[in-house]
Amino acid sequence: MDNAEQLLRQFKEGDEHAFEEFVKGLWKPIFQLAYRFTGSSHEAEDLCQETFMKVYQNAKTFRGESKAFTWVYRIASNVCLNWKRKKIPEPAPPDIMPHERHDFLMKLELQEVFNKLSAPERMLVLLSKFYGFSYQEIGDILSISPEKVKSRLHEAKVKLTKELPEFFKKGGGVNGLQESTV
Amino acid sequence: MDCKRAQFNLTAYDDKELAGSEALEIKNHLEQCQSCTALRLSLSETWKALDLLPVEEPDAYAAIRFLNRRKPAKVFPVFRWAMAATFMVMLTIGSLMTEKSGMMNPSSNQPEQAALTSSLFPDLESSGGGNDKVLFEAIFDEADSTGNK
Repeated sequence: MDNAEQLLRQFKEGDEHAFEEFVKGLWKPIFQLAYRFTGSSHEAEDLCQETFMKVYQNAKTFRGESKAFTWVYRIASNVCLNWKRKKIPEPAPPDIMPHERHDFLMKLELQEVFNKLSAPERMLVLLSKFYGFSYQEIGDILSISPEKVKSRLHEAKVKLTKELPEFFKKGGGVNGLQESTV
Repeated sequence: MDCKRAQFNLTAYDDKELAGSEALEIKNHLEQCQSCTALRLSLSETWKALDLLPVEEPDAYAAIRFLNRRKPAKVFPVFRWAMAATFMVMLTIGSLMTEKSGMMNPSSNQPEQAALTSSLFPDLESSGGGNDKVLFEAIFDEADSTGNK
């Protein structure tokens, strides 16, 4: 969203319409971040609303020290991580048709493996994998250094590789992994 | 470069987050190390597998609903005036009807009450009409005479 900065600036100057455009432009990526994090569309919508409510309430005090885009993701990440701390039970898997079963079970298994990561690791992976943020930007969003992003992301990737069933991959090169990364 | 250090940097290497010289070192190491190359492949397959993580499209109207809920309910000025005028008209009609039926002024129906009383107790007419004391005595007298019979 290239014009996020501009829309946020206009909103700070009192243009409510700019906020509406801002929300419409970012709703989908924030919803999908929350969905992948929670695994529930209902929870994702709630978290999405909470994120934009916080954006609305705090936009006037946003000083522009970071990009508007990363600022919104920081709020969304915090909202998601706080949700996780509240220890809400996992949603029940939806009903599926027999012809969808194989695909569904694969996805479910992948989701289970993904859920074995800690909440911050999951957020780290999502921000890197699906939103293409640089290590510097992820560091800004999660308030950690880019070096920390680098090591944590690698650890998360190795964990996933070890846990992931073989049918997801062909190489199996994780067996050659040197113990304890630097 | 040893394998341990190379492996630690593999993710950053694939993410193009390493400085030029460091990236070159990794590249050279991978060209001669099969196990690190295999690990790199495995990591990238894992990364690719994440594309299968379930995801949904948001409800098309969710953002609109959120934006509408955030706004205070707008009542158009014309509508507001119409509501106030309707209320005033209803209030006026109500007070007029109440006045007409006499509820606002109980003394206005005294003649009707007097007519009703005289029809029930014709004897009271001669003994002074609306005097409460006489009325009660007449009622008790009537009761006594009925009982004595």
